[in-house]
Amino acid sequence: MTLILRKISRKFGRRIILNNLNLEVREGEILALLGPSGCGKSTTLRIIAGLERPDTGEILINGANMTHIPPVDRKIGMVFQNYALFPHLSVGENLSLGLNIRGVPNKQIQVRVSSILGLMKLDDHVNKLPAELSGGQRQRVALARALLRDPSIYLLDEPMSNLDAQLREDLRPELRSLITSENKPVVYVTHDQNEAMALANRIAILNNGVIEQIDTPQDIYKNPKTYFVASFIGSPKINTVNQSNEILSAVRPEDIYFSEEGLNCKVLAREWHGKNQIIILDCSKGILRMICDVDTKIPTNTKVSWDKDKVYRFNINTGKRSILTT
Amino acid sequence: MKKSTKLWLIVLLIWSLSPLIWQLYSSFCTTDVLIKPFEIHSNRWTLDNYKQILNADIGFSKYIINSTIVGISTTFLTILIAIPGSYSLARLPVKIHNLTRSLILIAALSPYVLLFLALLEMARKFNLANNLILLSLPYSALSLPLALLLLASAFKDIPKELEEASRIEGLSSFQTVRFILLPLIKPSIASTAILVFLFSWNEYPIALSWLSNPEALTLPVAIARLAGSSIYSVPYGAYAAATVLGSIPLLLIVLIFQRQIVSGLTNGAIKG
Repeated sequence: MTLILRKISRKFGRRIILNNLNLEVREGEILALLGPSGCGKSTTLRIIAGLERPDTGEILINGANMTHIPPVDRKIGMVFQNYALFPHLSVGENLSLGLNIRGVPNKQIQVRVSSILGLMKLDDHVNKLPAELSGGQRQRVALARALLRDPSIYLLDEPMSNLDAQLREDLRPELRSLITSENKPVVYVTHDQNEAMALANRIAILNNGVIEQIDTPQDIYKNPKTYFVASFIGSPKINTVNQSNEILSAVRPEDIYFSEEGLNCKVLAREWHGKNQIIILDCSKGILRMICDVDTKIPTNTKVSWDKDKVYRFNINTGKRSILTT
Repeated sequence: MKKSTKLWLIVLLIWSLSPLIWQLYSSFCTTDVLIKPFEIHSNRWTLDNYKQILNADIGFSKYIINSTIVGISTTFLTILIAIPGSYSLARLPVKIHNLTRSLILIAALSPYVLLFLALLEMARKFNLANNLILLSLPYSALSLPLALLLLASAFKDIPKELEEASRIEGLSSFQTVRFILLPLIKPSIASTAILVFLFSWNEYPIALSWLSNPEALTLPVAIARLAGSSIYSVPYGAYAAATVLGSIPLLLIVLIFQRQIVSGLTNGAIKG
């Protein structure tokens, strides 16, 4: 099963939300749509689901054109950011409603619902209302509802953003194995780069309705194709170290080190992060952030340097990466 | 609860309940007591006021039934129209929604007595007078603006993801409204219904002009007709008894619906 988006564009009034978007998600693959808020990632997901229509372009699921097919017939399993559980229905009713409407026989509904409840470890909560559940449990009910549909593709809209950090990390492997077990395409919208890196096979970085880059998490980090991608991915943010002849040079914080020779700096602050520390420096090029081992001592005569091959260069006008041969 | 809060609550309760209690008290008093309340009377208590209005040529219970018929049909008709109307209103694009809402608000706020003559003409022309069910037509029309506004804001409060989730689950628009949205706005429907019922229960000018058959009067008109043979004799006791009887169905309805007005149902829909 595959999902293909071809030349999708969408405007709200005069504002361009999506501009000529092309995307392919293969079976068993988790594709993360990552970008700042307002970049069009949620709209993309809603267009795939059929909750919104593209102005132009088409959506293919398993080769079939779904552009004008209503949501229910697209066989979508969707998890909403706020879970969208029906608050007046118990967990069991939330899960069985869709099956009931689609005319699945009662006995079969019972079997399917109870098996999914077991899988999700929700057996004890069948008769509870969503308000009586914890955030993590609600998320599992929402996921169970999506799984029950036996969909062709999974769409997840920031499914973890309402959970606290600890729970998020705990749930990641579980979520990953659940949604990939059926070998279906998964589109995962998030604004959290760590989550995208941890979960996705490939990441699509969206900015102003345009895909800046689609690549594996490693490539997105190591070989950013545009300045936007380089600055969006990585924490602390990539440092701009030089700007001349329409070329902007940038260095990742971990590639900066103290040295005998180099740029004169003044230490502004240090932040301790367990294994690492972030040192904030003021130099003639502006503010630099470097990340290094906690044991690293700050020399009295602070000078920093970096290796030439670690410098990323971008064209200032286009934002595109320029590979210089020197 | 703090002591001062409690005290204030008691003061407020006395403030709002005392007229009702005075009414109740008056309804059981003889006329002499009502005229000279602070003198000593040998027979202070009586049921005569009630007997008088219940045993009249047309018993008072008849009017209560009439008003109930008008009230129920008005409420039913109003809610029936207001549900789809307010749902569409809530789902209109923002600009059109705001414009439409302002227009409806103007309609809701304008004094309906201005329509009095026009409504009377219509009743004459289309032969609508002296029919309790037909009286609910102008009542519903007058209640609709408020009902639309109240229900539309209730529909707007429901997160749109719930509707989208139900579309993905395969529910039609009608099924979404029936199985998802209506249960969620039940509290608002209940309070709107009470307001509409109250309006029709209390309404006087239109009832006065539309109803002339003594058998078909509603409570307010019937109470107004209790006035004695001369303008100098005001039957305070009978009035009091009539208002007490007329309030009982209202109290019952509020008590019944009160259980429905359990808010907080939507609390679990959004993140918790």
